[in-house]
Amino acid sequence: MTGCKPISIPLEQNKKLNAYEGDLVEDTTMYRHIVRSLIYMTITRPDLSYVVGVVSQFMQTPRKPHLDAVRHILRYIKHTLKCGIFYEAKSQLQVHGYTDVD
Amino acid sequence: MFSFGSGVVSWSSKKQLTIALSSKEAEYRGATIATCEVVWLHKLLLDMGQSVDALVVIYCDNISSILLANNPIYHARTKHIEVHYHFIREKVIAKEIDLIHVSIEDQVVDIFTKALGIDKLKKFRKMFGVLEVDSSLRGNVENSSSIS
Repeated sequence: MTGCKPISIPLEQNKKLNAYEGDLVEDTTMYRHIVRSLIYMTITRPDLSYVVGVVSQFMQTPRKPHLDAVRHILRYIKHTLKCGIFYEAKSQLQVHGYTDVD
Repeated sequence: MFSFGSGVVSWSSKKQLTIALSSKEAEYRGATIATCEVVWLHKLLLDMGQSVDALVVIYCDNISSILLANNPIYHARTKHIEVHYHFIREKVIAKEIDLIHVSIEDQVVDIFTKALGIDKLKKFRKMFGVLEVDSSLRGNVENSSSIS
């Protein structure tokens, strides 16, 4: 994956993944291992939490489209390697909350 | 999602705990969960000696759920919502939180609920405080030794 092409979004818009379509992934351990690492990464990268949540739904029986989605995320991470949460010293210390459901 | 200063400090993206009969109800429950987080954050900040404005603003993109939280009346459409979800009304009356409407365009937490296009993704990422930083964010051993 180190030679992969970076991509600017973590998941294609309107992409639907389901648990029944596509060939089974042979190396399920690898899939779980990558997703496990991705979950760890969401601690510092909130922009990944949605997509990682999606791919982690298929940990039990990963299929080809799921693995493709994981690869897509990895390419996005390559694109945004230098990103991190930045807390500005001079910003106003005020708490704001946002809430939404889907 | 909660921002403090320029960056986010607390966020969560997860499956709904119970089935909601309407989107208003789902948003209402989401807002209540956010309220619980406000209460905790507030106490945490006070413990750290940081004074906080008593009123914390929570942005929500559903007008009817805002009205529901602001107006504590008994309503036929809400009679089945569990009592603990009405916690938010208590906090609104106590002026600890303020629920404000935000348009879909500025609803940053969309990033947690759907796959976004490139423009919105970049905009929201910036609002989150997730920025591209040229230098490494992690201090390494060499740097820390040179500072000390």
